[in-house]
Amino acid sequence: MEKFKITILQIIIISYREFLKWWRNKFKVITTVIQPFIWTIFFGLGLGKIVNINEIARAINYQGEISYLLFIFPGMISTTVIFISFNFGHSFVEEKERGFLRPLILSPTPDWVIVLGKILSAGFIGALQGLIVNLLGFIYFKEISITFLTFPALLVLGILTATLGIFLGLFFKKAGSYDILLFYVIIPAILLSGAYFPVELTPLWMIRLAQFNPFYYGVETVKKVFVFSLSLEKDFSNLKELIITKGIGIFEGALYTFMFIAFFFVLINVIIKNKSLD
Amino acid sequence: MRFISVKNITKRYGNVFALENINFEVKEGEIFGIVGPNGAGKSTLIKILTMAIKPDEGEVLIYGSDFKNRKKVAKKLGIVFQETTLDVILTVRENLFFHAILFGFSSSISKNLIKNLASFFNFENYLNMKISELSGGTRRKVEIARALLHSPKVLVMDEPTLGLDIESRNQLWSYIKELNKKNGMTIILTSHYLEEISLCDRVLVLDSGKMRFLGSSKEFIKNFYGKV
Ligand SMILES: Nc1ncnc2c1ncn2[C@@H]1O[C@H](COP(=O)(O)OP(=O)(O)O)[C@@H](O)[C@H]1O
Ligand SMILES: [Mg+2]
Repeated sequence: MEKFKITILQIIIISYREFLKWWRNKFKVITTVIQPFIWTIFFGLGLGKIVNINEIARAINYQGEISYLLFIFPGMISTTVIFISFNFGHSFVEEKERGFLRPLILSPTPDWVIVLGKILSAGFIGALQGLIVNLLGFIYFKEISITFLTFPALLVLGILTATLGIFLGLFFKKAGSYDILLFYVIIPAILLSGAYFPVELTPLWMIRLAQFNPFYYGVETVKKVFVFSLSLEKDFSNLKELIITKGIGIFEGALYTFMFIAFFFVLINVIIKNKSLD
Repeated sequence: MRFISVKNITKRYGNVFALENINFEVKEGEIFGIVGPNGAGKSTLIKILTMAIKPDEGEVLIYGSDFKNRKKVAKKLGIVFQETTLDVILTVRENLFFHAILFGFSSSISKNLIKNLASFFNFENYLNMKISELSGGTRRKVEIARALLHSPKVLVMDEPTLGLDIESRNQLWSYIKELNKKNGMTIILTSHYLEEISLCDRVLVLDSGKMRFLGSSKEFIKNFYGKV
């Protein structure tokens, strides 16, 4: 029992340390929040003029009024979360490069606790920034929705991204080289996650590919939460029915995402056991 | 049981042999110096000795544990690497507190440990300052204090006196002697100052990754300086 308490304390402390380091860097906090908001306005209002929203609505099986802005907003927020959480992989490689991981790795704290602490904080910070963008959107564009499920969904996506980031970070010696992943892995994966256009509208081979894309499930969960929130705002009396119809989809998306998280988490721990992190 | 043994260590970086066939043992309770010019392989040896990195060949055993079981002996070692590993954006107290938690102490015990060390090393007034606001000498002290938080059996330090003025160097050496004499702590440290050899019990002299001398510091001084 005592050991369990200490392990929990260690996970919290490792996360809290990352959080403090992020929080004290105010410049980073502010710029990363503003950037996606600008994107949203440009994408939503710009692209919105040329895309066929009816076709999109049909592809995602959505009945009711929808604008392109409304469609991509969850995707935009997901992008924010993914970018920010993924950047912690960069910090991870940097720490490795400069020997900052040594005090952690050479402490008696089990490696999995260290990895978990880092992943949780990276996911949490990503989700927090996503939530802020969501709130700004909610205030600025009246049609954007937000509910109690928003943050958990963003958190799941953030944790997924952080896990992937640290997994990929294991194979890089230089933080600068890690950033290449953004263009070769992350952006393609975001495009193929349904964030900006429904994957259902793409050629069959792309649909197949998307099924192996962890972000597809993470972003899907976020989008389902937005649809749920929208429906909730329209008709509050039907909460029970809504939870049954929409809730199952959300739960399913989160479950698939967790399977990816668990898979990569185990893989990270297997690799770390026999590798020098220097 | 064997205390610390380093067997046939070889480590290459590309074509460079950072270390070649290194063999030695450290005895409990001694001050063991690893001496050599820049690029001799001292830091590489410290990283391998503390199991931060794996050698290409050979192995290190500490209390019978090898690289795979390094977590088992983590509590026995206190380590100060050559480059700082303190978080500069965090305060002295935060750095020390997080470290104590990582070593399995409860938060109230951690606070006590920090208080004691701060008074031993005389930096109580700096506890709430960020590392980035401290002088080089004070940073070193904090770094060493952190390594001592969990009362290790062995203190390993890579160039602890590097960049310090004479006064801080002397002060640090008096701490080292005190820890060694009073607490019976084994000390392993590197230095590129030959004059620090006389302060060690035994030394290993490295050059270009090779062992040049292994033995008591008296013997070394007699052989190499005796005739002067
Ligand atoms: N990470 C590394 N990558 C490439 N070469 C390295 C690395 N670390 C050390 N070396 C090389 O290994 C040799 C020994 O370095 P080091 O152990 O740092 O020596 P010292 O600490 O005695 O100054 C040097 O030639 C150095 O350039
Ligand atoms: Mg060195």
